Amino acid sequence: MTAVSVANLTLRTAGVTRVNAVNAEVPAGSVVAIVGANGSGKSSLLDLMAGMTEPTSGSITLGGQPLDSSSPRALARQRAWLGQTTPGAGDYPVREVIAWGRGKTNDDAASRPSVENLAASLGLSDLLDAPLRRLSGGERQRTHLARIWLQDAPVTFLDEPDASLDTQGRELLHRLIDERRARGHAIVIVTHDRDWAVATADHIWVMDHGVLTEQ
Amino acid sequence: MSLAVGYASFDPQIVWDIRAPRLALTLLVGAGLAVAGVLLQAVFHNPLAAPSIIGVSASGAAGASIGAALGVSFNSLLLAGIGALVAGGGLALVRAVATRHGRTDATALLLGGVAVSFFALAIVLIATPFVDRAAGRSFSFWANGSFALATWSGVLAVLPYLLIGFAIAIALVRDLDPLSLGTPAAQAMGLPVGRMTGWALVAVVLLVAPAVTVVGVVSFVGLVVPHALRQLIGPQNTLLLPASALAGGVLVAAADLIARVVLAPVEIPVGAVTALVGAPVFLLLLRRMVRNRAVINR
Repeated sequence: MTAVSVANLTLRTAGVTRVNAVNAEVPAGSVVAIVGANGSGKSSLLDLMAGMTEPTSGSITLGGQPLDSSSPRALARQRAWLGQTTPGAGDYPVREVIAWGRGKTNDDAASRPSVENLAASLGLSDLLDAPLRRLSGGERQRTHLARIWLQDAPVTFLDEPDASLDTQGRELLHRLIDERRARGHAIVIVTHDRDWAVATADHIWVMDHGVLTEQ
Repeated sequence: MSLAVGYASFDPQIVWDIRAPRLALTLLVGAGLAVAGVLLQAVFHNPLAAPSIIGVSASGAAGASIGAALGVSFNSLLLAGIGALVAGGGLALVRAVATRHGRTDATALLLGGVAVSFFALAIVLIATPFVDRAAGRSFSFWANGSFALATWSGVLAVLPYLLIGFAIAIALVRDLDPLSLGTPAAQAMGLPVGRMTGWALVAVVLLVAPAVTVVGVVSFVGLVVPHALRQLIGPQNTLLLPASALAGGVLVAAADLIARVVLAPVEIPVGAVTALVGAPVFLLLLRRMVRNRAVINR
């Protein structure tokens, strides 16, 4: 089964072609790692596939349906997305920020992990009541990872989630990715960690100047 | 003895005709300004966003003075509506200037507000001489606010707009907290950020501009009240919003009392009192933002 498929996906901004006629598929229950040099179009492709950016042309299918970014709520049921940096929310406690992930998605809470469980899997149990601004960059990133995992969407898009994580943080992230894959979820991840990508990902996509050169 | 004299001079008619509408207006206007501040700070992820700072209040005064110069009655629903329309235009302009790809630049928002405020107050300056002088609305009235001319008809002119504004704010409040993550993250979680921002701005205009047409610009309330309460009760908007409504009303009532008695029999503009408190708070907030390098584009 295909979780995401894109056809002829192109993005042009300010006269520059960021993503050039990409055709690709993400099978359900698989991990796809997107690698490439800085400026090669990895993040642009990820944002397009997640419906965070409108493509110049081409189409995106998510869970068998054409992606409809006009309804953020419906889209949030189908996919979760975490950008490279997430600003703000500094005054809110970690527990609350994680719980926002539950907010606007589905209500079948039974299958969903609890805030406490997710916090524990990401080593945040002792920080649940601390305001976000007191946390280190890595701890904040783990909070946002917990938040989007709580969204429990069948497809998760992650843009360099490991950039600010230490070795322990990366291990926890990789464990969560394996767990989700085992549950049939698809994960699309932009990363510079080629060793991990080669060892773990089911598919590696190489981007070069906006073109998907290898799958 | 003094108590006896005070009691002897008690006139229920004066209380009902002058004191009561004045108190009612201070409470309503203060609540509206503070709730508008909560909404603006939430949708723009910016603790410095407040109606008087981003040009909404001054635009409302421009609308009121133009309407009044054209002969529209004071304390009327129509003048309040004209104020709301012009303020809506001013706010839409500031937002358009400061926004690109759905993200509003914090610095551009504040600077745009300054420019629109200057422009709007220039219109007030030009229009005021054409306003019926007997009505007592001077440039100072519009620019610095006063409850001295408060009447029940003034209360009734703002009340419907305020009620709609409060209703929109209540409908939005449960989803305001995650907006603090910035537009992309909030949208990715399923929040219709664009639509929420649009409705919040409609509420802001309705909560602020009609009041300005009745009492002039009362500045800094929308900035100081939510900020002070956030320190006391935390950032959660479901609590912050009603608490701000209450505290905003009380603050403006207190400011009006100070304006009336501190240099009695001369009454100083209530906006001067709120600005004397609010401007230093604004500078403190600005200092904190610069220190935390929080003035960033989102």
